[in-house]
Amino acid sequence: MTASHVAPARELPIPDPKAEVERSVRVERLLLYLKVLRKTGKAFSRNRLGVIGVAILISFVSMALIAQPLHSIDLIQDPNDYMASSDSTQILKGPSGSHLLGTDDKGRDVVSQLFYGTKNSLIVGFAAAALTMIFGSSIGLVAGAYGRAVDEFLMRFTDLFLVIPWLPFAVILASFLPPLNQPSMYKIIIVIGLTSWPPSARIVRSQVLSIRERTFIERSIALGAGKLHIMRRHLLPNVFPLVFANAILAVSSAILSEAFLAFFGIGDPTKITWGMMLYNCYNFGGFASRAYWFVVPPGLCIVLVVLGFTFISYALDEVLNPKLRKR
Amino acid sequence: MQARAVLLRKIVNLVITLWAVWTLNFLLFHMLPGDPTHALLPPRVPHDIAEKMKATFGLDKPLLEQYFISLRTALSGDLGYSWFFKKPVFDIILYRLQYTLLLVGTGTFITMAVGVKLGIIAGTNRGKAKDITIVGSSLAFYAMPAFWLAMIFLMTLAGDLDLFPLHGFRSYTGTSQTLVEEIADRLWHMVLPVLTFVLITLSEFVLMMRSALIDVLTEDYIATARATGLAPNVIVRKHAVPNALIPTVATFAMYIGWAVTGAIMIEIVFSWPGIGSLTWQALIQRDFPVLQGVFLIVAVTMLVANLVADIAYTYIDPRVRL
Repeated sequence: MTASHVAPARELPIPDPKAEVERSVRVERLLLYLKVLRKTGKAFSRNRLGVIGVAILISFVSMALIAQPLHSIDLIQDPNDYMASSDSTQILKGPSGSHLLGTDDKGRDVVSQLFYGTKNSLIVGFAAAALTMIFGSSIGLVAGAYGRAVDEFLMRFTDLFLVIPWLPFAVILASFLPPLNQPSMYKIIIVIGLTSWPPSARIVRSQVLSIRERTFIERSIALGAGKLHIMRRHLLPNVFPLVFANAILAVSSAILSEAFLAFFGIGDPTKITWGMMLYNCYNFGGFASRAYWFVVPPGLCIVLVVLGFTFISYALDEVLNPKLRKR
Repeated sequence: MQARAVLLRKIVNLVITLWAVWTLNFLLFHMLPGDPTHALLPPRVPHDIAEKMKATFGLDKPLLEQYFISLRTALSGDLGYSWFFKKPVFDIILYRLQYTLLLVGTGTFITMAVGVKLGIIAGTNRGKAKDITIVGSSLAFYAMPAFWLAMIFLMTLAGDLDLFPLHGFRSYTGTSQTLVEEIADRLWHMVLPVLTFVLITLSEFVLMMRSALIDVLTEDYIATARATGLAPNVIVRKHAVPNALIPTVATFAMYIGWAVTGAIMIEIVFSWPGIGSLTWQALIQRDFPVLQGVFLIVAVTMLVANLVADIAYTYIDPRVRL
């Protein structure tokens, strides 16, 4: 590790001034980030909506995390294990001591499904949001940075995706993904990622366009920086807060989208999500026989999680955007 | 003169996007796995009959030739022939479109009126109980999956309380109805679908109007108006609201995208015979011509709505250049 292995021992280590400066700049930058982060965190924790949002989020994430442990101590059943969890004598029974929220159309415990549903819905939500933001921000970044024909082409491409009716398009896309005729959760994630990036691409692009006009970019170009360098070192760090704020909303809309897709019948029946529960309700008698205990909880979970993410994003907006601060 | 040039460019862009939608549409459906003859013919028919069927629909021709044929027929207003409904696609869509427009049109009208009104109340009472209630409840409805809200309404209001019909757009009593009765009956069937639609789309207008109003209220000319001693409600009504309405128009394009998806879900749950349930049926039946037609119609609607919103924007706000 040390330099003495490489350099002959007699020679004095010559300090490289450039590396020195770079290191100190890096340290400074890190300290600055930390300071901003702490300040933001403090302002955030004073925001009531933000705190409620974080609380909702934490409770759902912990629900997702304890699903497996609870199953291993036999408190809940794994609804994906059809043989073990379904009970033909307990079909669509109301809440009772052994089934706190009753059972579904296959005699499976609703509470257990909620735990596993939370886990799978959150996985889909986070993964799909990450994909959305990667697609959206890279297209927006390239369009904004290169401008002209590239911009024109990419924006037409984005417009095209914006005007296609989302739901049927997503369903058709899903039928292209391998393995064919076999529903799976990863398909849902990819489909949501591939269909919901346009708004974020537009937002990132407009932000890039405004940053591009600032003098420090001009200076950088004058110093001979290439497009890639400017994108990586100047544009990306500057749009990152925006991308982050958008990603939070993307998670909530991905969870909603998953519910829509599952309801449309392209969910994975072996992986219970909130949307899948509602699909089962609607199609297999829970809805028709007015089984409130089965219909209401998954929908309420969706509402709560989406609200939680929305609250967090509002609070972040208020903390980060000085224009919105109360006077 | 310049405005006209920009407008022309926008229209050219619209045509290009439309063509791209059409091409993507064509490619998507022709690469879709699954043989359409399976949907048309009973199982286990002889192979040569399936081939004959393909030839009738021109599915045996090379892809490029099929593309130009379909483009030409589409330009002449012929969107093809439905495999499932056995009718021209254009007629089916036109018929179904009435119902969707009835639902979405009525819903949008109510949403805009109520949303703007609530947004003004929330914006002028920022941070107070009224504001928090309005924003909180419209966000809660935004967070609901449309089909879930529809299901809950059906279970409670139509099912348990028996206040509203369970499905469809009119009742089939067998006895003849007078005109008044028929209108009342149809309105009765519209209440729940429209209510669901309004509730899930409300937040778009409420939040936009609220934040625009808050923004406008910090402008200098409002301070001036205050200094002249105008009554607060006059300032809001006469000076702030007209300007705050401008960005609300711009969200219209985004709102339409949201409304289409919401409307599909609502139509399915309420068995409303519009474009949404048509899409659903076409997807299940693998009725590609109908799906293609729906794609095209929705894309055209959204593109035109965008253009109209753009133009309206410049008319309302002279500061914006097209």
